[in-house]
Amino acid sequence: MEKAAVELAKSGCKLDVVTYHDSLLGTEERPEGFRVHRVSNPVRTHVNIVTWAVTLNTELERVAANVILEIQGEPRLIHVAEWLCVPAAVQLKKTLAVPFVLSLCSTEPERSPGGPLSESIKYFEKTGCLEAVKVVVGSARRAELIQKLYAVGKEKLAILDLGDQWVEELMEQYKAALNPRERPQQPALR
Amino acid sequence: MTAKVAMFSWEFPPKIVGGIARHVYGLSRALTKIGVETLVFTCEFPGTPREENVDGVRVFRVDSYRAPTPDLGTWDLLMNQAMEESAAQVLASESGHVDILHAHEWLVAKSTIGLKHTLRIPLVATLHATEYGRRNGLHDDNERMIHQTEHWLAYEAWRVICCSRYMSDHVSWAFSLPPEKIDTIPNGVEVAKFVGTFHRASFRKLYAMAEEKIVLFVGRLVYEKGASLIVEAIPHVLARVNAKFVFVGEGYMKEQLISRTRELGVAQKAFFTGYVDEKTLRQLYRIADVCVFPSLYEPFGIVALEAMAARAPVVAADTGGLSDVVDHDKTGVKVYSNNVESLTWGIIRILTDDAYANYLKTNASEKILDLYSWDQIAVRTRSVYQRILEEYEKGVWKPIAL
Repeated sequence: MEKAAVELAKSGCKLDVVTYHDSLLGTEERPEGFRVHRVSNPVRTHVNIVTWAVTLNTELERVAANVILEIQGEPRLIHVAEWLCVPAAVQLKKTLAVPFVLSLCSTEPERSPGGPLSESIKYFEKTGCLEAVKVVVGSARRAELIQKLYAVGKEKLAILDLGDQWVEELMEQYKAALNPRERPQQPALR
Repeated sequence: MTAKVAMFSWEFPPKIVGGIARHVYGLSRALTKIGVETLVFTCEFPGTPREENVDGVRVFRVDSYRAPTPDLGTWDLLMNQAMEESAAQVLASESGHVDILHAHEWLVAKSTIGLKHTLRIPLVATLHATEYGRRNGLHDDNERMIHQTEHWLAYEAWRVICCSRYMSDHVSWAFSLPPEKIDTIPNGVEVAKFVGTFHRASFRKLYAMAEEKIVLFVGRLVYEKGASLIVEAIPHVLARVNAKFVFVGEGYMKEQLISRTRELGVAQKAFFTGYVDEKTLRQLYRIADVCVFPSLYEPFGIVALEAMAARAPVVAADTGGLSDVVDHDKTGVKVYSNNVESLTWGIIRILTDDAYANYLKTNASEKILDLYSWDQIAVRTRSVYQRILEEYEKGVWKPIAL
């Protein structure tokens, strides 16, 4: 994600990274031209990774909402990595009508099929795929798997080849995601 | 200043798990009556519509089982995800705009905190009990997680409402919350439900002989409710008064309590009814000669309030919220907590003096109407909303149109 943020910033994309850290909290201005916002989990003790992820997402959602509300008159897009950030992305889409792109590097059935939390994690992967305007994957094999697992339409899936042109390709995906025809309807805020 | 409020509760009638459902039902309807437009977001229940109007309250029910989960904590957070998504769509629309979010308990913390920040609407939290109090400490990660979620909700809330002075002090201590941030507003009771006619004599026959006085306990048969103290008091009371002890409720101590009545040789004087329906319970209150609530831990004590509304004299332990509800020698008899001798004295004091019992009943009825009617509670809750909105108006934290 760091590499992607640096390259995207170089290509003129205005971006903020919202991420997790236990102690390095707050906002960091990076010399490469983007900001990193770090939040910790508001609930310190957990019974599993899902409860940890969902409570952390409320903090990610809070800071991301502040970033989104700062931006005036420019298109907004969220890019989330993996199911771990899907809860925040879905809520921001529903509340502030900001579309999101989802990157999936692997899926729960590949990692731990039949685990006690597998169904909950698959729920977030599926919801992410359904709610995202684009689902970005690294290979045709994974694209095919996600299509089968979560019934994602081919037109929503983008295979990003990590060759020389990957930043340009990602920017193209962002532009496609921001296509007004694919954007959710803006809610009427006061 | 009129407010429009969105309340969040995991239970709302007909889904009734504990006391929160009745509280939210009573409060939301009473708020609507005094002009506070109220929306309620809650979990779905078989046979109920996803959206309905309940006496002017718009109720939205959310699918709370979208994916299988291994435990309550995980289920709760997935339910919150669904609740926040559904509420976001309603609240972000023109007709759904609200001024205040009102969370009831930690079970809806995640969804309400999320909406607070994305919509920039102030949040109020009512903490009905705490995990620390329920468990008498924190013993495992699940309990610690719930405790920290309660803490998070209390921290994020503009103001916190507790139902008794005891709970306000406890919440302030448990979450290091400034006392100025907490409002004490009691639970309410629908007095009208405790009037009406029924065939008293034939109903009474189901529970006691004509010559027996009825001593009634209502509550879960668990350690903290103190039913075992009543069982220990039975022989001492019987030495002075012929009585039948009726225990309404279920719990893990039931068999142990029944066994103890056998050991004490008073099994024929104790009647364990199990759960009863609401109508039967209200009639039981009305035929009781004394209602006894010897809790060791009690955030509020709604059962004492119900007994008082039904004009039954009350003996209560000087514990938690019961201390607020019962004024000793005025609206009931307060006894020492966890003390069989004191409890025996309190029961006999009422059963042997009808004039005294009538005096307590009259005073208790007046107190109920003055302080514990939902109309009164709604007015007090509205004033908390108004205070928040006045502060909010002066601040810079506001929604921004995209």
